Amino acid sequence: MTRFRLELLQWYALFAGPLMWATQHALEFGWTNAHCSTPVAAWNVPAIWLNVLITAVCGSAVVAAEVAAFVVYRETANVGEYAPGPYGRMKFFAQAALLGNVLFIVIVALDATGAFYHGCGQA
Amino acid sequence: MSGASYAVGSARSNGWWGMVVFVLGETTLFLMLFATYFYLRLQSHHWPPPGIDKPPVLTPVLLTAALASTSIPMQAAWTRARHGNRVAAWWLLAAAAIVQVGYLIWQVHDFVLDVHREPPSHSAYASIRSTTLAIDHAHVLLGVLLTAWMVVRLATRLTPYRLRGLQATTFYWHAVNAITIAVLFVVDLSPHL
Repeated sequence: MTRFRLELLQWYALFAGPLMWATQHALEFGWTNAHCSTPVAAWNVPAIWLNVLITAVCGSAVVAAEVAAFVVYRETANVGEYAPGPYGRMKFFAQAALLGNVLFIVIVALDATGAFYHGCGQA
Repeated sequence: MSGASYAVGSARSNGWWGMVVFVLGETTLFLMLFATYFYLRLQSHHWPPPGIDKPPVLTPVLLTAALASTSIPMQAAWTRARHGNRVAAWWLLAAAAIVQVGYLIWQVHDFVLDVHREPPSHSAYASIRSTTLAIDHAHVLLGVLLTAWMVVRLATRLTPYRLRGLQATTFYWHAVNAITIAVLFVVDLSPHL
């Protein structure tokens, strides 16, 4: 794999998790709250299916980031643990993303659960 | 003093990259605190609530200016150390550490007085103000510990490993100083606007 592709995968692996979770959180929080207002509720948009769609898109992107991290980690398997330069950084960030994206997958699942069980009567 | 030059080159160390990611995470934390602060402010008719004085301006501004100015000796220390001038780097670090410790002592003293005067449990204003300031002071404390550690390590000799530690510490201080300026604007100056 070329270095350019590895770089792309590494940065995607590192940043897609937090960005996708933030996107999912903002969209589901905003939509779920808006759905509780009388004018928006009158639109009869199925809130649960919209939340499922948002979670599916964002969750898939985070899972793809985990896969990207694994690919970069495999491609840099021969690079030393504290090697300087781009390849050392790519391996370092791939390791960080491998762990971080597992946490983000769990956070996305928890966020979706919260949105599904949100009741309009709650404060 | 060693005359050797430790050229780091254009490639950043993993330690520096790790610090960048850490700072990004902490920046997100402060952005959420700022968002919470302005959300609560927009929900209130009076900010600060009746019976609470607006925060002082002069002392926090001067203290923050003093802290922000330590970015200069920190950067200079890193530059000197990179060129192998350990003694000059050590003195610059020590000077920065004195100002940073002075800032922290003064601010923590004022913070304790603030919390006793207006406990966080009394109002949303006191709660978000004290939370934001406490977290900012905690970051300054971490920076002081990092600087102190570098002062200890550079007292004996300079190695590429310690140089990378100084590089990461310097970056951390630039970030903390920028965050502290933002906290000053949000927590101390914005209630006067």
